[in-house]
Amino acid sequence: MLEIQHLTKSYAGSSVNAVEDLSISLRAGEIYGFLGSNGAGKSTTIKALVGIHPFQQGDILIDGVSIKTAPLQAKMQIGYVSDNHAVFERLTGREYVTHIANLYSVPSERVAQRCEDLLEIFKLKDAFDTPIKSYSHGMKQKISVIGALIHDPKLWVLDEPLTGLDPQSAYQLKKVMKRHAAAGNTVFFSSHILDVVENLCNRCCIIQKGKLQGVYDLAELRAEGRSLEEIFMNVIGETEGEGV
Amino acid sequence: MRKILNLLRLQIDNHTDLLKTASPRKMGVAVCKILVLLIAVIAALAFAFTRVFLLGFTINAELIALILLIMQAITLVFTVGNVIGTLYLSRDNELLICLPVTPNQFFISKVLLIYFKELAFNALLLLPLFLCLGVFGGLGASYYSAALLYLLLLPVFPIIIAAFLSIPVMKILAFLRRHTVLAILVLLTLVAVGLSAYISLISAMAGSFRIVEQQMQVVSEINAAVLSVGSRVPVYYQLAQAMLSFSLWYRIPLFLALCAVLMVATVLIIRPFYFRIAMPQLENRIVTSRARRNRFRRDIPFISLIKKEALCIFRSPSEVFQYFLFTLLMPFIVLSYDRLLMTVTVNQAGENMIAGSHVMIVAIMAMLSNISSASAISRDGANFYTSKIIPVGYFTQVFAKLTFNAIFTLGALTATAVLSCFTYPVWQVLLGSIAVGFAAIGHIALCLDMDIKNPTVSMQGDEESSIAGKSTPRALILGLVIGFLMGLFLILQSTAKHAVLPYLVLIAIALFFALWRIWMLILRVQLAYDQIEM
Repeated sequence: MLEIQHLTKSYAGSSVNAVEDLSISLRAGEIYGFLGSNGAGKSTTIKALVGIHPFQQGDILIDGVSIKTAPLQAKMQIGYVSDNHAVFERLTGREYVTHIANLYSVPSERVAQRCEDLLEIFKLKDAFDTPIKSYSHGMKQKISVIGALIHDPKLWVLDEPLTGLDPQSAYQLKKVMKRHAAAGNTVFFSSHILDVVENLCNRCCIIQKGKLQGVYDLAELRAEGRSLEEIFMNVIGETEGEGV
Repeated sequence: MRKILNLLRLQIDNHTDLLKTASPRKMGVAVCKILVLLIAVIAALAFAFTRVFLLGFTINAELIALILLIMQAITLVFTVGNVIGTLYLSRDNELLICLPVTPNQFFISKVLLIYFKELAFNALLLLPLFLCLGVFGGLGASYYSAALLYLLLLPVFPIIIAAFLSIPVMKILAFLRRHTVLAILVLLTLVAVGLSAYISLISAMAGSFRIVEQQMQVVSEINAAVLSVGSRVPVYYQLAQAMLSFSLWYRIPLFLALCAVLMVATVLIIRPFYFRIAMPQLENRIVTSRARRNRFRRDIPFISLIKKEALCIFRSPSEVFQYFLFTLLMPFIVLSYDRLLMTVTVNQAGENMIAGSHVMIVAIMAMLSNISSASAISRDGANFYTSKIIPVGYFTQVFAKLTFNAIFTLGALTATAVLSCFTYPVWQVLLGSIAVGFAAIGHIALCLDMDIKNPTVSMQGDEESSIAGKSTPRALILGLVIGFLMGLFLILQSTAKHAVLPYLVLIAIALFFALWRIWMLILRVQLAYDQIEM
């Protein structure tokens, strides 16, 4: 479903690669966690994947379509929830979702159906016709999620989705993520909350200083009695030790 | 007292670099900017005074009293905005109220900040005015000494009046916030009324000053009127007299005492109301929605992008005012300007020149209407990432913004053309409007191009991004130059054998400009959008 092939990215004016030779592969129907400490390169990778940042080397294929050579076609397959949940705050929730749906050419009936469903899960029906400016942080996150899912993307990408969410909202979001993956789609999200990744994901990878440190199957880890936290601390500790 | 001064210092540092002693360079730059502005205002005033006072106006206590009164009235309008902005709507209220200070200390620091802002504003206006009056009137040491004292005292009266006016104004603003369309209409009406009064005044003056003999008579009448009215202006006449004679300086301490008493009374009266009005501004507003049918309207991406632009801009009266003031008032301003031009009696060549002047003002207004495009991309702010993730081509997105702006500019241009047909030959209006239309489209494309080259998209929130848009001043200047050159071309060609030919040439140039800028935009968009990182 998602192939990141030898991705290398550096920012303008910097000689250091923010991401270096990163290659990972995601399957349909799985929830994949993307772990790393602050500044490891998680957001950079995600922003390159969804088309926000250009990258110097490598390629990213979404369902076989290259984000470099066929960006519009690739973007049609992606739904993205940013880390700052920025949305057009002067629009109402309905206007925002309708606008996003129109950009992805989703038929009105499908929009109505999916909205009904997602509004029910997120308990946002009452606020749907009020300006997003009046929403709380959690509500903005939810409307951002609805906007990202309205076209039923094959690949759903979330950047630090659980930051700042209350327990109820976090539970609702995880429920939707599981449901989306169960329908044969792929969910790819970055986080530094290990417990969530451990309980939610099928597989995960750890990135540190822009380089892939390892890919882990969480079912296998559980079977072996190993904890993700131990692995993470060992990996991060080793790579930080290299720099001394 | 120390806490009040610390609070005041904190707020001043937030507004300006003038007191940033830790950074002498920043302080120096801030001081230089103020000095440059002051010199520019003095130079402009000196130029205007030379033209006016050489006609024979007498500088006396009555004139000074009237000038003081008019300046205070003008200042009052800005002071109301200053009081509301600083006391009630300032974003730092939420931070400052949490500091370990009493409500009184907080409130007094705010009042002092208002005073210092008024002092700066008044100094910028009054200092050059006093200087020019003194030089042209040949006034003595008493005048200049008193002028310096008045600079410190005169801000007090507008602050007192504005403090009381701000309470009902805040109620009206709160009402208008809930009714956006009404707010926009009120804003436009106020501006239209103000402009109408200004144009009427200019028209009357232009008529009176047409003939030299009439000028002398008018100046005498004005001098007599000033003597009559100026001597009846309470407080300001007495202050003006004190400026001209040291023997009347006892009035100044009396005025100072009056200011002090009124200021203390104002603070005591306003303070209880202040927290009742200011604190709800810090709360999240709960918006009650009107019941709507469950509707999702399907549009093609291009139309949806235009609609989104419209909703985001027209839901903010301040953005409508900032970006579409000239667009919405274009027909009215041009009509008023044409009325002024019609007071001039001319021969045929002169009529063609007047038509050229008409095209100049229409073109300038049209270019000013396009300024919103110079921050069209930056205005998206933190939402810009949406432009890069959606499956819609970059040029389609930019073209939607161009179309959005063009709809309003060309609409206003059409309305202006229809009204102008009552004053000018239809063929001149039609050809002139076509030329301005093409030039306007080219200018919009240029503005967008400038913003794409230099966007400010990493900030949070819409207003901050559009305020920080770097391209707006350059786009404004280029627009003025384009409008001026268009009018100048027609004015210089006013004696051409075939009156139509200059218009056809102008249309050709404007069309070329539009096509060239759109082509440059197409070339730039793909590469530039890819390189914008957030």
